[in-house]
Amino acid sequence: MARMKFICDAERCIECNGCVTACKAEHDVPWGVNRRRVVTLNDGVAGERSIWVACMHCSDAPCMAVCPVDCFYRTAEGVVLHDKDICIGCGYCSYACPFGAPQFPTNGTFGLRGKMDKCTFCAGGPEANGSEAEYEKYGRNRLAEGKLPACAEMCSTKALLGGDGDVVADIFRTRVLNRGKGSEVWGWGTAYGKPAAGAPGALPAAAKKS
Amino acid sequence: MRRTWAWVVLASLSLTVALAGCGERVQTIPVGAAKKADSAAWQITDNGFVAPGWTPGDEASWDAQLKKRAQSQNDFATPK
Repeated sequence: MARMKFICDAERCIECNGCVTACKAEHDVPWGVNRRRVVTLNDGVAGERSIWVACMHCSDAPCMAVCPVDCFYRTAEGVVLHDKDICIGCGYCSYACPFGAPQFPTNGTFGLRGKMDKCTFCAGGPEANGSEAEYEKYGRNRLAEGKLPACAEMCSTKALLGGDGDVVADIFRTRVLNRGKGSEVWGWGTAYGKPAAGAPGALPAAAKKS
Repeated sequence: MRRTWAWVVLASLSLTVALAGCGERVQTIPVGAAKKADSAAWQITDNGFVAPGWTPGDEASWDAQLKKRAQSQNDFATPK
């Protein structure tokens, strides 16, 4: 069973905001709501780094833990989704999320806060897969169409990796080993380990630099 | 006459402000609403946008399709 994950390759992200635009367009995300954004650290300074920030579909999601109406659920693929018919727009998830992923549309008059909206890993919501109702509330369900998230598939530098955790970890591991730097950071081995023999993306012995 | 118009304009403005709140969308939770069960991603979608190369409804086929598609993000993959 696939376990969906995103990985950001900060060495490749060029802050083009293409993923933000793709997400907005794919799901008709309303004005003022950004399911995905790009953050630049040390902007303008040599060596600046950009990373995208969005829902990371946490394995132990704090939004799920704090929701007073229990509107969140996790799919078999590990995607954290929510039911907008249950959400009351209280904003607790927003305070709990370390990534600032939950977004709240300004709904109606006086800046009233609407129901929460966030990245769905292009997996829609509890409505029937690919239905009009699902699109209206959550956007396209690309996973059910046999596709990966729009942001990951259109990222021009492939800085945004999305898909089965094992596959994207293999891809990232291969890159880091090819670069010859990055694998020395603390925790890298725990996170990415060693490529299994014959695994997709595993490096040929001659290409390994470390 | 001018005074009457002033009253009409004032009344219209007041009504606009007062009724503005009536334009909000209903957000109340329907009575008896419970979390709906979501169908699996590999189950059949009939919206005309399904990618070719896999059999909708077949979990193993969907799994293989996504793994294959993920390789499009791999610059180091050997072209097949």
